Amino acid sequence: MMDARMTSAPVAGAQPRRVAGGNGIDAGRTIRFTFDGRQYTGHPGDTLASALLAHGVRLAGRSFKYHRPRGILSAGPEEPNALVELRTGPRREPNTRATVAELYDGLSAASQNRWPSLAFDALGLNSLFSSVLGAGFYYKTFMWPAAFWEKLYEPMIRRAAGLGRAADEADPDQYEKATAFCDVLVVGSGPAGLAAALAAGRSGARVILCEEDSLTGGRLRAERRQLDGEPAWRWAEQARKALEALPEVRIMERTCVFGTYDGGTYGALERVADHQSQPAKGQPRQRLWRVVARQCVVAAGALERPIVFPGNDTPGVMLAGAVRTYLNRFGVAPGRRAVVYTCNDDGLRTALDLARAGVAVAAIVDSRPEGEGQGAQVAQACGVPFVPGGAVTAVQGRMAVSGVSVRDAQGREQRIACDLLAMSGGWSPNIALTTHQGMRPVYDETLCAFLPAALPPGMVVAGAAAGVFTTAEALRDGAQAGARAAQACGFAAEQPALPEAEPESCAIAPLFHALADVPSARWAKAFVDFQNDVTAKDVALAAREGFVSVEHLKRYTTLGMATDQGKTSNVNAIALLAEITQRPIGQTGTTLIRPPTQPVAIGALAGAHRGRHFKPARLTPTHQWAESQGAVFTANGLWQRAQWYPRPGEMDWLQTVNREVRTVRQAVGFCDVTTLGKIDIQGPDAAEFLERVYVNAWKKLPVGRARYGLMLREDGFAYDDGTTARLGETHYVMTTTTANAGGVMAHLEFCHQWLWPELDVQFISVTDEWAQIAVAGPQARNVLRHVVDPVFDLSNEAFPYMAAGEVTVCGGVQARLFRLSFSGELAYELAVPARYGDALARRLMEVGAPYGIAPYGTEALGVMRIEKGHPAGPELNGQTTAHDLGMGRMLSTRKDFIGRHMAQREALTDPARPTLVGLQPLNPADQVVAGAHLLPDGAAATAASDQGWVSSAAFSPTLGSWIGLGLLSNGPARHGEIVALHNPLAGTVVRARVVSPVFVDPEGARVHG
Amino acid sequence: MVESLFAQPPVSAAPVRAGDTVLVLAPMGEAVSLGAFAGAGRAALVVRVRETFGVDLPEQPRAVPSADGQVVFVWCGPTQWLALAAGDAVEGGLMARLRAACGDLCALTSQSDSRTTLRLFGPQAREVAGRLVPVDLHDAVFGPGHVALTLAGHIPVILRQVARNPVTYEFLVFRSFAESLFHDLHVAMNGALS
Repeated sequence: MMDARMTSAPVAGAQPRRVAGGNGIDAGRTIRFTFDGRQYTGHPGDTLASALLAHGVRLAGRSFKYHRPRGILSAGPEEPNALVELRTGPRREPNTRATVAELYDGLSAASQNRWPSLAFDALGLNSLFSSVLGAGFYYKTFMWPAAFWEKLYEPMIRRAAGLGRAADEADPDQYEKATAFCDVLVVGSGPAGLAAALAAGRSGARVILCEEDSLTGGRLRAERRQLDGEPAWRWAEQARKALEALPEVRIMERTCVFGTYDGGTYGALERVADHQSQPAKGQPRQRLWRVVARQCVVAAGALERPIVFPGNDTPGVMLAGAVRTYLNRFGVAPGRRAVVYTCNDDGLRTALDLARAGVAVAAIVDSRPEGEGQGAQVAQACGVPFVPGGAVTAVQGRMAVSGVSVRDAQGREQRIACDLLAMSGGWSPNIALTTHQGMRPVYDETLCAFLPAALPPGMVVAGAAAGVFTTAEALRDGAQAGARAAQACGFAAEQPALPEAEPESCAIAPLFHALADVPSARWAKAFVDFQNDVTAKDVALAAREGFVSVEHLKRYTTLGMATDQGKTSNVNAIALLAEITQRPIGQTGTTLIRPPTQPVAIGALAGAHRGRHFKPARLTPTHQWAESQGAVFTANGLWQRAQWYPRPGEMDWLQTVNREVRTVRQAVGFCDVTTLGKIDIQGPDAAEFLERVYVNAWKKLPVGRARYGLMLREDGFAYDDGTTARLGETHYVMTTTTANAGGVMAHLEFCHQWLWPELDVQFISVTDEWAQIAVAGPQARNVLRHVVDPVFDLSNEAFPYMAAGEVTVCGGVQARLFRLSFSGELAYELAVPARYGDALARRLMEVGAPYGIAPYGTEALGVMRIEKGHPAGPELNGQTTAHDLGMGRMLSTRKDFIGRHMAQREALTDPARPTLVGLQPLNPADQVVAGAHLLPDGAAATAASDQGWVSSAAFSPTLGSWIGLGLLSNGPARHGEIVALHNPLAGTVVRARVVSPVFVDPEGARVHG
Repeated sequence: MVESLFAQPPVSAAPVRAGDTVLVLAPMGEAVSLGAFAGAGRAALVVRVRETFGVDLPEQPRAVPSADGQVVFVWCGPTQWLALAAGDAVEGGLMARLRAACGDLCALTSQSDSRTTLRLFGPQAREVAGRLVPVDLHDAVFGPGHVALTLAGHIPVILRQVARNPVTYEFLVFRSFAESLFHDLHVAMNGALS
């Protein structure tokens, strides 16, 4: 019965199924593309799907689970079947819907989920075992033995059921994020959307019109319909021009609004360069928009439902509306001899359009009984056999439709030869955006559709999305919605003059399973969800097994869980479940649709923030200079800091760091410490404020002196530490750790704004204002004498340990000098305005050369602070108290401060708490590792004998030994004891002696030198 | 200030251009923050600034120039402003002038090196800024003199529009972030043109 020409292979160049009159293509130009390595041609304006259909290619892919041959079902973003790998190499993109992939010259696509070829697929055998691959298959089959899951079952299932392959290389393209604001956002540019945009736009309101397609017009381009006596798509083009002329209207094509978020915020994805072979230089491939709109008109149209009948997934079975789209917009006849199968008057129009395009219509099958709907008239107008009260009971052909079995109202069956079956189960309003905030739609029995009920604030729905299906009504509805939205924003909006549309009927009778009355037919493979291969039988089985809630049905059968989110399947599934459980559809419920409504690439969500630019980098004032010195950098939060400065001949980092430490301990070194948070604090109550945020006393700190301070959190645990210097009567500058700089600033703001607004104090960050450089070592003063202007006396008497003050350097540059020491040596911190940091580093190198000066990085800084027992990040880990850190005596008893009361809790004052100690291995060469557990010497390595941990470890070149800081239960009382440092990761045990945490210069003589 | 030490600019790159839109590092000028003390301080501060500079400190996110055009006051919070020396230098130094005028009424802190100004101008400036800043920059909403304390991508900025023709924005950004923001703006310039 098959037409011989239908089986002939497509020929490059010829487009045998192309017909005249496609309103959305440029038939005058021909472009080339390949599918599965084979050359084809098409026209600008084509999608991959329309171009394949123009060549008579109907087999487009294999299904997900059963590897069944699949064709092209739809002409839009709802496509569940025709998923391909688009492009090659690093731009290869799996699961691209051929129905939305715009054709460009040189496009290359490949079918997926097939091996070795699309026509012969070895795993098509899955289909033979489909009786065991039914609903809940995974739950039932791979339960035992559990160990097999990861190693055997999962890899096997993934190989068999995977979709396309992601690219193996990094995505070479750029992505962008942007924010847009408007009064009225209009989603969709069909008749309702265009009318809404015109009504709102002409009022002067700021309007953004988003159309996910490459062309505006929606169904106006898909239908052969007249508006004001002209083709409707012409009116759409004029409306677009009119909108373009309005200065406050922005038309965004290829832009899909994919999500509704709080406060009138919408997510939209603009496919900037997807329709080109690759983006132009600097051009992003896609752009993620955050649209902030005061009002939103959702005119997103409707999606046609398939009819559930055996073999409804055979290539050549297509949605009736899609057939019209291919005919009218793309000038492609998807078949040569068609059967139209419908339950509504809209589907009948397909027969008219097919006949007009010269496609033979073999029959119209209308599920409605004789006399209902316009089937008889349409059949007569086309001169086509009409089967009222009929049903399609089977499809002939495996790789493509070659005929269908049709049963009439009397139960007589006949076979009708055809290569195209156009089906329409009615239209489901596209209401996804209305449900993203948890609002559930309600079922309308007359329209056989779920309609939005409650809506998010500022949202209205218009046109087919609101169940208003005829063109004339959609135009009116859209105009009203647009005018109202503009009025809600304070604009005087009028309804635009609307074009005259012909009357049309959208009458429908529900049809959710073609063979509802033939129980045996239910066991044939009638698909509900094409993308996840869920059949009517699976729905029935799930219901029988007790999964009668739609939420359970969804998860048990995976229905609606594919990347198409069940756009073509959800309503049919709910209706089937309703019928099986003998409930009305409205009471069966519906699952909610989550954003995004369309797949959004992770690249678009990341925007420009990827790779090295994932986070911004903060650079210190000496960064460039350090780079020129060959420094190795490390990330410290957002900051990039010099970690060490290797010199030629040094074998490894440890050698470099040891040299840097020795330089500081024996001569002089310097280190950029700009990254420490610096907060300028001024005001009459500044001292009182410090008293309340720090545990120790501040009021008696004289001007020109600095003091170490410790802050607790409200819960009594240690929060942050640093030094604060008093620069004037009411002027202090606080330093924080690098990690907590932002947090401490926020903490101070909170304390001031909420806890003590009565305190008269102001603060501002000066972290970036000052390049602060630590100069440390026995020669530090001698070096600084070459930098600090001679009028300032740096002698130990005039500027002792913990002195602070304003000086000038290098002949008049304003600076601040602090005599602070983190290393334990004679040391200063010199702060100059940040612009001079680089020059200061160079000057220090120059004048320090005779003293053997060298820069040191954060690693040497860390070694020296461990040698001195100063707690840092690993000790201030949020679980330690002042007492744990050996600073219990700092807690003032004469004042109140943040955390004071909570710090007195029993658990926080328990003397058995792990407390700061030093750890020195008995064998100096034994490496101490941070994270090792502290156990009594000889005790079994069990949790019961765990008494603490090593928090920081380093090799001390000063001691010639590995050393560590740790938190050990009852620590201070155990100096001299030997403990075991157990590292379960490496399986090692190091015996170490508990010592004072201050390894170097415990008397602190050097800092005073 | 004696230039005995070389003053290094916060951004190493030369100005960049995409179409007619340009991104450039503004010259380093003096900047001083004002934080009003409590009590009568705040009201008195407004009066004192009006007397000295001939302008009312803004009460909302705005930037206003002094009568002589030498200083711009940028609102930074309910009791905080940033005074920026416009052009080359304020006679006698901005800090000295402010200290004399209102040093007893507010905390004055030098921010000259803390903040860096990146200037973006040209026909695409609004589009480019909209790539990074989640603020409505429509001409009717955000015009010359308007200020926003916001994020440009991940980077905190004080954004202000300084001119309408051509549309000109200034991004005040912490110096350590300047290179990153310059890069991000440059990427956005290339993207917005396409």
